[in-house]
Amino acid sequence: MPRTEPATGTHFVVERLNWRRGRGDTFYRYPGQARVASFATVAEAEAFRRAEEAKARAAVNPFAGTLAPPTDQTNMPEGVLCDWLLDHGIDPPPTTSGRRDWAKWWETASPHWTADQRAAAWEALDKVRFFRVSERPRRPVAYAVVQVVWGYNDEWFYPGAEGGEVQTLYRSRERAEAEVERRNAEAQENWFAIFDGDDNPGYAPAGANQFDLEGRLLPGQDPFGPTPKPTLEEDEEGDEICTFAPDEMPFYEVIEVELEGVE
Amino acid sequence: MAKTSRKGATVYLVERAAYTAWGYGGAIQYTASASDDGESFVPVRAFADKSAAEACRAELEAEARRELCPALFANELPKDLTAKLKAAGATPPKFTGPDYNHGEQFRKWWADHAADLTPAQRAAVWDLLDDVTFYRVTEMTLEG
Repeated sequence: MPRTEPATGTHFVVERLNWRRGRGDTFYRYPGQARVASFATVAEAEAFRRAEEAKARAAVNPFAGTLAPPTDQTNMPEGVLCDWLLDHGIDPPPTTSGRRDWAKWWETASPHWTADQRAAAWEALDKVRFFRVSERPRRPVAYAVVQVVWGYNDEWFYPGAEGGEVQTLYRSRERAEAEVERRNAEAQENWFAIFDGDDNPGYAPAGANQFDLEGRLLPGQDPFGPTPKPTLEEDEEGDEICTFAPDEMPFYEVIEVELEGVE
Repeated sequence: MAKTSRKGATVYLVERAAYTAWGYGGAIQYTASASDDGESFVPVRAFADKSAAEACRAELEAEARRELCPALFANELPKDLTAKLKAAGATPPKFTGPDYNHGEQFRKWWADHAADLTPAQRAAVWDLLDDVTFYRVTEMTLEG
């Protein structure tokens, strides 16, 4: 029977599995997970997890961009999944030339389902989960100051997909945040100076907007929420712009880590 | 286990390698996130004890390998994959067509059969891709 109250010195942590948006409506799962909240009881943690899971499910087409649907999504054989859907009043995707277009079916059919039908469909897709709860020891934490690794592809600057290079590890959140704020201000000033000069290495009509996030999440950004947009909407030639200015980009971030064996 | 004092102490940081997924038509490939300016890692947990950090790294590595498909991370499939899968106790797929199709065939096979493999078989399949690692341990100083 699962424990409902934590053992001494433990708590219930809700972790977000490492999903990030790809192109269009695709989401990919990567190794790892991130702590998003912790609770004294499993009931509180599960309630939070369910709410977050529902938000993610509302944003994700679980079949989009996957190669082997529905095997990538469920442990049910395809026929059993179709029966499950029919049992819940959902017509499974039609077969065309021996194949079913699960992604297109989800996109067109799921907006018309009831909440119960939607929940039933997700229940069957047991390989696709976005959050989990685990009981973990309460531990002190430290705050890593991480430098984002920006590369250049001869057209724009792009960041590492997540994280970067750890510069310093602090016990104090305030010290880490102050350090990040100071370093970001310095980096942003330097970048503006580069783009204001005659040797702007990027696409000139975009001015200082030379940074493409390429799917990297901004600090605190919900991966299942809307994607950020640059403040500047058009470049100097009136074309839509999707690259960001230095003061909209992170060059350093704070990432919290658990400490073990450190008093 | 002995505990270390918090300020100015040496700690061992477990870090996760950043990966990026690329879609090519119907195919998907994950590659380590890197540029000329370096690779990216996410700090995950820090330990006073190096062996505890290494144990954590191994545990997280095993967890990632349980939950993700090795074919997504293979830039190149190992030579004699069919024979090696058989040696690992798995029933391999029938690879057909040109070599560049085999990666996707391997991936579809994993999606269909991973649940039927024992943990040891799954680990053995991952071990065929010896250049794929997700976690590392680095030494850091913990500041106040």
